[in-house]
Amino acid sequence: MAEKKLELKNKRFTGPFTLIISVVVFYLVVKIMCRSLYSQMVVNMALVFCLVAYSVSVMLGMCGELSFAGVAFMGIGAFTIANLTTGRFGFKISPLGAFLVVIPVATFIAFIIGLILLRLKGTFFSFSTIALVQVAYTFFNNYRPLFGGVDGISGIPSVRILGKQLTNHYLWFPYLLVFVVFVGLVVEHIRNTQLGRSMASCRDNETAARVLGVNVYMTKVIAFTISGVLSAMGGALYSMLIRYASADMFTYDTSAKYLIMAMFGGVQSTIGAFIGALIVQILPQVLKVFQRYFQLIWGVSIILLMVFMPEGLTGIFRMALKRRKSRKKGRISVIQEKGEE
Amino acid sequence: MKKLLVPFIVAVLVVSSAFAGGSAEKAKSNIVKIGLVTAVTGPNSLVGEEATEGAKLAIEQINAKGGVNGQMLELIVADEVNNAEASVLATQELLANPEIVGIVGSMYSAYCIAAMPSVAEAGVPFICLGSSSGVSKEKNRWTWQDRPLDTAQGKVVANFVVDTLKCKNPAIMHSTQSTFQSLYEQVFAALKEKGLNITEARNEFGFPEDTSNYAPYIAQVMAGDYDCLIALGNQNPAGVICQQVAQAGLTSARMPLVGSTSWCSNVCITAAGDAANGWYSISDWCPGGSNETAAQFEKDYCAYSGRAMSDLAAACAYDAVYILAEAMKIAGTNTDKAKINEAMKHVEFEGAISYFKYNEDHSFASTLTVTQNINGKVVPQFAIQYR
Amino acid sequence: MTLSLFVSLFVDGLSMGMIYALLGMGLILLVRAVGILNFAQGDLLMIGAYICGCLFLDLKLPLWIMFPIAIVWFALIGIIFMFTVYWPLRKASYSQATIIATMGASIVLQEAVKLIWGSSPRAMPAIVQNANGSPKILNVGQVTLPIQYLIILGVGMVIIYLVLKLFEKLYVGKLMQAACQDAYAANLLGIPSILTICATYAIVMIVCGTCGYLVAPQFMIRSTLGTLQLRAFAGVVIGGFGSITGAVIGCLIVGVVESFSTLFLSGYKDVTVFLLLIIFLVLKPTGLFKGKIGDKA
Repeated sequence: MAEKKLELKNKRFTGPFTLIISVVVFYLVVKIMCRSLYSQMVVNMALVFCLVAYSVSVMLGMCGELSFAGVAFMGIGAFTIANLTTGRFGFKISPLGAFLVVIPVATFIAFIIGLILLRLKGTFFSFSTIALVQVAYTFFNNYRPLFGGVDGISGIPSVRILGKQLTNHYLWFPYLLVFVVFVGLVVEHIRNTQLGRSMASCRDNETAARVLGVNVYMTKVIAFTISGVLSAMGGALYSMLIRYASADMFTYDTSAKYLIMAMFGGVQSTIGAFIGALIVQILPQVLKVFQRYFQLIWGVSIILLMVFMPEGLTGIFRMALKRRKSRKKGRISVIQEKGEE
Repeated sequence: MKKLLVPFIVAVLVVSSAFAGGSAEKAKSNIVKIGLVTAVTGPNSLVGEEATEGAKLAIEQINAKGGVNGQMLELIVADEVNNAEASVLATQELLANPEIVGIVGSMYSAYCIAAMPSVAEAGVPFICLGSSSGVSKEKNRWTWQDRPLDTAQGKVVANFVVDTLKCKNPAIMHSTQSTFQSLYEQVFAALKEKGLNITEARNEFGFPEDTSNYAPYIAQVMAGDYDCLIALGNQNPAGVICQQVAQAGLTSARMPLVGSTSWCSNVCITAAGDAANGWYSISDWCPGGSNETAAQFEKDYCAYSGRAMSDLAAACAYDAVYILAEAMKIAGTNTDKAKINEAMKHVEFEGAISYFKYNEDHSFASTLTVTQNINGKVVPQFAIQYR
Repeated sequence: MTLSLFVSLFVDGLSMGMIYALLGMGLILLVRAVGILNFAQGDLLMIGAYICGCLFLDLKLPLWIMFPIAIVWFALIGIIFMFTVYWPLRKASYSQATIIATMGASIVLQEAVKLIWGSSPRAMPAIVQNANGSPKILNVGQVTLPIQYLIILGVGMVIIYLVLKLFEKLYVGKLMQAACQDAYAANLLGIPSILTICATYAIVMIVCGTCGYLVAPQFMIRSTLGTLQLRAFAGVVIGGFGSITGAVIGCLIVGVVESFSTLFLSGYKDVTVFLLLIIFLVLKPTGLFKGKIGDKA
């Protein structure tokens, strides 16, 4: 019974009609509001970082492990693109082709690293991912043959999709939006598969999960791999968007931002990651009026966010919904049944 | 249904509130806008403060003399915090504003390189304040540099160390941050060219930018048979390195100490105090400079900002604004960006950091100064005209 | 490698290691008391440096007056820190929220000192000086050793000894440990957990603040001092969470390895420490010393 209810809920959550309407509305609003390339770029960046926020949501929200490794995998994605498209190895492939290469490369690397790091648990694991980010950054910064050293790799060609050259951010936007929504659906799907439920069981009670026959270690490794691939895709798109890749873009400092993105929207929901990424990316542009107080406000708001809404926006929303439901129990459920049909 | 829509409405509201403000502002007719990309917040904010002050000072001076082509200048500052992404976004923000006719870019070459594709797309003259030769290698039509390039700086350092100081086996400490890695490579190549028998394994000491402990490197320099210490790094590390070199008992009496521009900076000298004494510095800017414009700038800047000394960031942002204004005067237009960009080639005047004249590689500067810190003061030794 | 180079690298590594060890010890005290990793540990050190700088440079207080005042301030800040980023979050639905709040606190502290004291770094004179104000240096044969290093080592050892003594031997310390292990039971026994947690935070801040004072002459007072904490983390993980002795030894190893790694791969200096860490994590995930209390996060 409970199982069925859950499924129903999720169907409503991603109901195809609602989804399409929302995406179209979002598209139109951005189209109308973004009158300059700059504002379009802000939105595009937010969409790219969405992928990274998804990866946090997979690792922390589904699996309950805090991982900082996102930026390292972003770097791997970005540098794969940069190396393959600029002909540094003596051959060139188109950015889209390179993007397809990123996925298996990232899967492989993330799987191996996951196998190693996930022998640790909790804080130890979190810390080992920081070490990973530091090691990756140092190599990005110093090893010239693969990562262009300190100058980074510039000259990534612009992407060609369906015979159209994506030379500016307006042209990028629809493709990015569709891709990010699509990936979001995949992540949402994972949440509802057996794998997703195994992950949730590892998060909520590891011992119980083990008793029920869940291979906790392997489940976490798979989650880590998925989140690694998501981050790598984000990094790849990032480098394609600004057509440049350098170590500076993937420091430990920036990893906090992606965590906050996922946290802000609500780490346990995919749509939360999407909204969080948008808000965290766009808010600084609004708060720019505060200039030198901005970082301070940012820090304070992180603390306040954690104190007052650790479940993020969607958490608050869910709670409000629950409260209303319990208040007008009978009526609401009837209306919702109708809405469903 | 509702579950999905409400968050979307939130997102929509945020997007709209972010961009609604910008479009409402109306253009004022008698104003020309110049952009500045620099760090307003974050760990590099000191550099940002100085660059902003320098640029503002230049604009006030130009406006006091009647502006450019009859119009007043105005500065728009965009915050690059401390990362490439924010810097590209900041540049993009300025590029998106059609009223901005010229942009003074970041002090950090890597950020400029990251922003250059967008600059070329938008077609706005862009003066990069970084000194990496990597910027000119990109061959971007719209990008210019007002500081001496590190290729020149490398040669001058090598000449000074070998010819003037007569050193045979210098130890080179440098930050591995892009600017200084690239400067180090130039210095190393130039020293090799001078016929010194040095190797990377023996003479290079690269330190990560975020380290604070230089003592192990200094201990190695003291233990080896080096006859000179060359140090290349940012202003904050410069102060710390001076401090730790002094703590380790290494003085300029034992071997000459040569630093990059940062070693004659206000930050380094006030922070390190007596520990900075004795250091030479091969600088594109020293407080007070080496010509009359520089001396005048020093006076004006100190009065304007209330600081005791000027710094590189202030001077080169100041000069960059003047270069843009000069180009606008030559082009005779305050709106046609392509014409202004063309006119950059004919810019020629004496600025604070150097005498400016167009070069093939899109850089303007031609002088470097050797200074020494004596009793907490920067004393210029001699200026070197390198081309 | 000559003996003199070896000795100076070793002493330098040890003194850096000692700083990491003090930070690491604070980390462990917090992990034991409240079960969270404090990502603002390095920034507490930085605050300590700024406070000492303010008392010493601006108010020009002599050392013996400055120190007690500084300690009172440290304790206060520790308690304020506890009430802002731990207390409201102690019942958060998941423990990572507290960790992220400390990351927020780290940003706040860094920006706050910049707004209060400006963004230029400040110099702090060495604790022991020559007549002309330059730092005193000990010459033993070929080896030159700055006295400051020896002071760091000495003071560090005293602090570690005192803290160990407090927790292992004294009644108050045992009360605090009890409260950490089972707050509910301790409350029933009449040990107020809020007091013990307050005390832990105050002690941690005093230790970090003192570290700040010790490193200030060498590293100057600046807002980026917080980066030291990453190495302290590494040391603590190598030593094993939960054991103070282990963490101290782990941090000393990190310091020495870091110092010697500059001999071979200076550009990759960061890598050595973190690679060492990853290798350690893989070979011996529990760290060198097994802790009394496991990982709570």
